[in-house]
Amino acid sequence: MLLSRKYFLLLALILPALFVMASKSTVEKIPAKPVYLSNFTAQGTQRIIQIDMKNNNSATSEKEIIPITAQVSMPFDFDGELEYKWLLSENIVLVHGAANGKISQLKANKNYSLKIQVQGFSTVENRQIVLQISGNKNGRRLTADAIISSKMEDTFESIVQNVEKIKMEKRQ
Amino acid sequence: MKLPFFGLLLLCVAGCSGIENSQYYEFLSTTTEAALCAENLTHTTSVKVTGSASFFKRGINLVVQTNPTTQLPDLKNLTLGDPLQTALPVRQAEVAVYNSKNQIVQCGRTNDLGLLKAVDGISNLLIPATPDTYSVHVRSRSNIALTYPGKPTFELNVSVKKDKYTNQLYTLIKSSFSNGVDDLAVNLTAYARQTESAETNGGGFNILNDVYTTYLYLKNNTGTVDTKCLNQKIDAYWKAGFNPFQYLYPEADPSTLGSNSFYDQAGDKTLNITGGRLGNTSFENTDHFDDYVIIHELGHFIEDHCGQLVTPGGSHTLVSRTDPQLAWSEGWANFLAAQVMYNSLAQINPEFENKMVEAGFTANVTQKKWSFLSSTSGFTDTLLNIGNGSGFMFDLKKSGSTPDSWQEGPNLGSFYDKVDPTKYIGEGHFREGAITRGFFKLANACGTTCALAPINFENIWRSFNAITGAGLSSVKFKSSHTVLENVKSFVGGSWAGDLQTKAQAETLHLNSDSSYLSGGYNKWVPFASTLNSQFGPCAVPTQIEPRVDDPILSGSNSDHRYSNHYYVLDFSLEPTLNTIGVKFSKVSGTDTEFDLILFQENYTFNSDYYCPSINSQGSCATAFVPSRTTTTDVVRSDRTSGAISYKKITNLQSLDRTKKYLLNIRAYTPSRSIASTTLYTYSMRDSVTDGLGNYLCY
Repeated sequence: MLLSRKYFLLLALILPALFVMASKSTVEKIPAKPVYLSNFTAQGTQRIIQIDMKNNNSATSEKEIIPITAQVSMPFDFDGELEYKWLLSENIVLVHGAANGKISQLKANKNYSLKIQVQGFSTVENRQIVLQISGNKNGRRLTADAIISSKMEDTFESIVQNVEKIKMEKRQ
Repeated sequence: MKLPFFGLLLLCVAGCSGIENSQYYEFLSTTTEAALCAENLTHTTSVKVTGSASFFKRGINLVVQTNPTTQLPDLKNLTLGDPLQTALPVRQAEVAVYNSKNQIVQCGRTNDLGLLKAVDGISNLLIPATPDTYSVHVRSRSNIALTYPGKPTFELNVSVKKDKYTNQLYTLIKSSFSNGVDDLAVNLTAYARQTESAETNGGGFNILNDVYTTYLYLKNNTGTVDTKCLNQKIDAYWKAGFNPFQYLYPEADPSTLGSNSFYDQAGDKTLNITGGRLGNTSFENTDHFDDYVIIHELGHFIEDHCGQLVTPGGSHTLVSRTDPQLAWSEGWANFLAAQVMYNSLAQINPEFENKMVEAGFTANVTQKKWSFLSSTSGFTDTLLNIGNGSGFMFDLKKSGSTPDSWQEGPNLGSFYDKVDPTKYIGEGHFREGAITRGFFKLANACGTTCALAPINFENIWRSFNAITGAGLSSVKFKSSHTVLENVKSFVGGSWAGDLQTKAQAETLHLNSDSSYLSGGYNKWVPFASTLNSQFGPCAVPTQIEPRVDDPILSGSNSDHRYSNHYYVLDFSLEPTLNTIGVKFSKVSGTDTEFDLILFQENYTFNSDYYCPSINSQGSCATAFVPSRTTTTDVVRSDRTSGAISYKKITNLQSLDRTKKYLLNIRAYTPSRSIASTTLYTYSMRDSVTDGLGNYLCY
């Protein structure tokens, strides 16, 4: 009983904090409204296709073969074809799977899994894999890409993320 | 019940805290940029430091096809290739010399040949005649005065830095032993390949070189006009393999965060040049060797400080008519980049023209010159056996009615802002591509599509700047039409004829040329025309031509050229104005509803749609939904739906009358099928009652 009350108090402290963080996270995603940034011309803005590709398993040796999986989804039924292409940075070799191809009849919010096996995507040095997808529906051109790194902690993006997170915590 | 709670705690430990890793400590507190080494130190006895600093950059590969009809070469794309064969001089960069005790013994700078010189850029670089090991540092920073006869001296003050935390400059360092008697010869080189420089330091010095080249161009081509506005410090950030958008959106997933270069006009006013993503430079979008992009972003900085940067910003893709303020700001930045590269290419890429000649572009002297909007991704390197070079570009010399088309990406095959001078008069003011091509063609001799007697860049500068041009603080709303009318005034009688024809070929028609007058009506109102009241009807009545929304933008964009008219409300001219009533009368076509929307200064366009679901990439994940709601930038409106022929906005006197406002008369067109013959007449009066009050005209 005492334990439960303790948990309750902790929960009361943590949940509002989590809510604040979640709200902040939502706000800080890329806004639809312009943010008074003068960007250079972009290829396109309709980044509707969702790609979920995480690096959970970089190889620890150069010869190790590992699978790379990406989950592709759309918020609505897509009756056209999506074209995809894998890009591998230097010293990564495609061992199994198609370097490019097409996805047909993707249903709303149903994941389509793309999988390849590669050699050289290892923690020996920072290397990258990109998946690019594009399609066209009723004149609406859609695109998306995702990139993963074999040594995420070495990237400056990771440093910025962590530095800003620590700074935010210290401010609170 | 307990397990989820413990799980929650564990999640929080892993995901809610920054990882207290020692590699982050050096970035946790922002370090001030190192002090400038600018003092000339005197030594009783001294020896001379000789030598130079140079940098390699990646060159441009041409993608050429033979035109099957003409059998002539056709340039299809530009991509990054091997480093230039000959390194370029690091010009006007700061030099510091340290002794073995890490004490500065001399400051200096490189001259235009990259030679190591004293701080005046001319005298010898002298260090003590004391035997010791000396380190020569050449930094990616310039702080120099620029002079031109009759012109107030202005300064170049720029730093190219690695990141926003350490504010470190790119620095070439070489240590050598001096015997205290002989000259000390030191040569320093920055490289373009990551295999030769882990940080690809040639990128940092290339950015510096592009900025200096642009300032030199402005020095020599703005006459005696005061350009001290350029003295403002330029902070440019770039790191190989890093996407600077992560600074703005630190919580965004770097795997899917788009990478691009930008000028942060609302933030710290820095130039942010993308170096790739997650460490990759070989197939990602990088801009450190994309001179066009670097100068483009500098162009925004220059407009911000020497003109007036009024734009909502945001993404833009050169395929549809868009917000005229955005179109102008991007068009200006594009034009400046093209202008500098067309006229100063020898300082930026002296090997490019030879490549063009080798590829067969020899029909005339202008054919081999740089006249392209260009951005590359990745690179091709024959030594490293990498063949990823790609990108997009279009030739500004080409006619606006037959321009190049997108070479890659979701807009593959779409024309770069194709215009129709007969059908869509004036649409060029709503297309950054047309503005870029038009100003380039007016200011340069580049063949049959360009001006026979080009306009001096000085006149364009005067038309744009904050002293005599559209950058004046009194101008709160502007477009390319505003600037081009100024250009016409500056060039006077030479406008009529060839210049006017060339502008109109890019649909940059001017109101003062009576381009919009037809059948006794004004068919268009120049963006931000100022309203004036008068007793009788306007001399020339106005008509509006509603059109369907542009399908290119998934039907979400009201046509700024056709469905919208924009007027400036200036209380200093109309101090008692309290109401604006507008009466609409159909002439032909489809029954159409109209809205009145009054924007405040620095507004962002109030769209006619909203997105019910925006995904993590900032895109609308569903269809856009029509909406007549207003944003906080709208201070008065009448968006009542229905067949209403009279609309009004009231209580204007309660607004801050020291400000100016933009009245948007808009045809409401979402999801409407509107005949292309649709035409309405409207009149404005300062009364709440239809048919009463003074007329409002422009």
